[in-house]
Amino acid sequence: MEIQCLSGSHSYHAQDVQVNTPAFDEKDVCGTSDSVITLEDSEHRQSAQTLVGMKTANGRNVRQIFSDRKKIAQMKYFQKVCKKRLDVFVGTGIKPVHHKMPSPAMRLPDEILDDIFRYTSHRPADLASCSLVCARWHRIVSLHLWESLDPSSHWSMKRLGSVFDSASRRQQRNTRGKKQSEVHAPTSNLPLVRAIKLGAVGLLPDEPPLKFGGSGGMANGLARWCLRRRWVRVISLAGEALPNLKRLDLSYSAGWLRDDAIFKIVKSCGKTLEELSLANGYLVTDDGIGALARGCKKLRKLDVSHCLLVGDKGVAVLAEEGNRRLRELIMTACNIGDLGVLFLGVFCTELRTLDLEDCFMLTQKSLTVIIAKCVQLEHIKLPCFVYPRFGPAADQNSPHPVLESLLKRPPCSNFKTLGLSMCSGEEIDTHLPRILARFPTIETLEISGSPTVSSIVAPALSHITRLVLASTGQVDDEFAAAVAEHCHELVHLDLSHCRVTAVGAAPLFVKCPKLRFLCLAYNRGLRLFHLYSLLKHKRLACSALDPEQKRHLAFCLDVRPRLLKIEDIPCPEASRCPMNLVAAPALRTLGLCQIGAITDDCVRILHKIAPNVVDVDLSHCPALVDPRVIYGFVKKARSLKRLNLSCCDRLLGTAGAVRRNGRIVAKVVKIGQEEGLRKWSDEPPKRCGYHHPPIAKLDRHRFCLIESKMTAFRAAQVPSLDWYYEWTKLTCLPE
Amino acid sequence: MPVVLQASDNQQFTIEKAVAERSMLLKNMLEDVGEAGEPIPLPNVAGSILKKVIEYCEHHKEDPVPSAEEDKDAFESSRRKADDIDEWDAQFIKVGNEELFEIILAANYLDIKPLLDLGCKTVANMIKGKTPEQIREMFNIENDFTPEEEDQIRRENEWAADA
Repeated sequence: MEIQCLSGSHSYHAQDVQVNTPAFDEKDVCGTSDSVITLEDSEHRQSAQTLVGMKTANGRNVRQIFSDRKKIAQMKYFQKVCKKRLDVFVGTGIKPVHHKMPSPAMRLPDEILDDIFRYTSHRPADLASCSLVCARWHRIVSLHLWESLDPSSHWSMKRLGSVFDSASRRQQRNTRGKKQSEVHAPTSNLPLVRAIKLGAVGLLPDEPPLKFGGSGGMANGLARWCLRRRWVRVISLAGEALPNLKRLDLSYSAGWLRDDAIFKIVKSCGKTLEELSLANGYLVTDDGIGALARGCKKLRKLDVSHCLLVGDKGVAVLAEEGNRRLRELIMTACNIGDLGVLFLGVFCTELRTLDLEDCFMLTQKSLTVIIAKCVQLEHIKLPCFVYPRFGPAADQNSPHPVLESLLKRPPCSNFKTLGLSMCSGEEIDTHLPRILARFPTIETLEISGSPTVSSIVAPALSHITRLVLASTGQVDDEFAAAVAEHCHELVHLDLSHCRVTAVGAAPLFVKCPKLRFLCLAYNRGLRLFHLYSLLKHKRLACSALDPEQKRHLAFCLDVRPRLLKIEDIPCPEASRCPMNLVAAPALRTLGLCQIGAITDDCVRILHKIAPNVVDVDLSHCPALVDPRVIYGFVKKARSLKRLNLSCCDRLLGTAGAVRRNGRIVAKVVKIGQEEGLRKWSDEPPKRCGYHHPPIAKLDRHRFCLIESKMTAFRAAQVPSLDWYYEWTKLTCLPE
Repeated sequence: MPVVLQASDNQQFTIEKAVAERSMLLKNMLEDVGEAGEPIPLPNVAGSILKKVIEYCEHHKEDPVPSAEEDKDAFESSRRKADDIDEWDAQFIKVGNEELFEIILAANYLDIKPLLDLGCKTVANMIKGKTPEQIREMFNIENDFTPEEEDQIRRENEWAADA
């Protein structure tokens, strides 16, 4: 730092700088950050003035320390020059500049502070506190605090629109070379924004409703139309106002996202965009995806999961245009067929992540190609769906082509995730141990469908940290016990929609010390009573165990229930309150949706059972009636931030924000089904009905689907598709 | 072949080469200079701190060396969690504030990435849920904002404070 040349008396970050000579060089001071400057001899008004002018222009913190009381007149002059930016201190006589050793926290270099705040970056409230600590921290924290914005719950669309509008206008003025006006507070931080979530902006009930004369469908329709137009405007303005925007999240936009919005995005921020999420944009078509592919040349990641209208044509253009740069493509439950995936296999060989879960039109024809071609894939989720097997002439003994081709993949050091949806039969039992033995790096395993999963697979799962066996229906107590026996590395376990009872769940609590997330939703044999008594029982049993195990159990009880999800567990103990069994002070997230037994009485005592709960989901609880009980709960649960009451049909008039001392403390989210959102949460929506597709019916139409898509391509006359059509006709279509 | 390290207060420590090689600085130094047998001076690290650092390296000498490529994708690693601390490490890092920062500075100087990460995670956990005043007091940091500046920052960050 240049300032150290000036002072020479301090080896650490310049905090105290003594300026002895009047003839200091302007350049020396220019580069300094926040400094306290001591002017021993302040007669040199001229040089000091340049100093002050420079510093105020830089907008830094400068304080002048005068060591001579006689120079008060000059001090006043300084005050006048530097207005309120400077604090002027008057010392008593000449005294030596105080050289104390700065605290070790102050000696940490910027890059270490940066590392520390990176660990805090998922907690904006902590970052906000840190930025108020001191100027140096503020400078570094701002980079993290503003890097990623989720304005949906804090800023209304109108405010967001005006902030973006003024920022983009200012930028235009700047480019024309006019004088910059006073910077409005939040806009000055907008260039720091790298990622923003805008999908759900304006969907919260906080949004002031638009009022139109009259009532009924016409006025409502008009209001919705205006709101959607405003939403599209906010999104296109965001692209202009945020010059460094790299990640844009438009998921859960509830049908507002259509192709016209995508055209605007491409126009406004297509040049910088690297990651884009359009999840659940079920009105986005292939045209929108094509425009994206042509306009966003830097796109690395695209999430179009549950975009039901996105099909082969869009993916083909995407594959051709974004061939080299595209690394991650998430297409859960899209309308993509074999053709699109073959395109991906030919052009996008650099893909790292490919999610084709629940794309029920895909067969082994394309899946084997993509497994063989994209050798760099690290996260794969595929439908494990073999066409001829289920036909009339299927050979039951033939090897499973998709799983076999997975086995033939060259060993890849970064192969982390394997997802196999729509599995069936016994392939999993026979293939899974071999696949896991070949790729020991796999950490996440997700299997769905109706495979036969028996406990003989469990030893192969020993190094898995995240296991999802949701909606398999085949997992029973024996398997759960085997998992508890072998998988000690498990952190995340999802056994929803299975046949696990308390007998199988109990060993999981004891034997998996690292387990942080356990989902046992929709297990018909499991009663709420059992689960709570398990927790209670384990706490009592602690005293009988040796110290090592005791520590683990304490850890379990302290940490695990934070993310315990209890959904739709039938509860015959409805007459007694089901929640009245054990207090869970560590509980943070409580999912109680679709439990008929949750009544107003349960909610009345909820704050006693879970005093520190942050996020409560009470959606689809038909027995909730009285809104006053809800308000009472929100007032008493001090740390509550979010409460989901969607689809509690008998509960009226609860939507809106709950304020405590004038500040919004919790949002009561109530969004009807007509908005397209069933559940307000960060996770993807529940698996839909086509998870177990009527296979026989599909088989009959499969060829027709492919055929009709081919003719559609030809009719559209996409020139580069012609050769591909010839090729696929030879290799892809079944005889 | 043992390696001798000399701390800033002339205290000397003799350690195994495998232990010394947890530090990228010492590893490179040993590769460049070869094994001269002379004590390696570490003028930026005090003896008490160096002892602590060596204790850490001794315990972790079997660990695989973290590859330099792990951090290349900044996007992926930009959001890291601070609560996956190993049990032994958690006990090890239970020290006073001053000592904690000295260890971080030493880990930075000696280029021991896992120890640096451990220190950063610990500090991040200490910050959790604290007010600015508490943080200043805890880390002995002077408030150099004017009230106006403080007020302005508070207003700007209003959205984050509730999150």
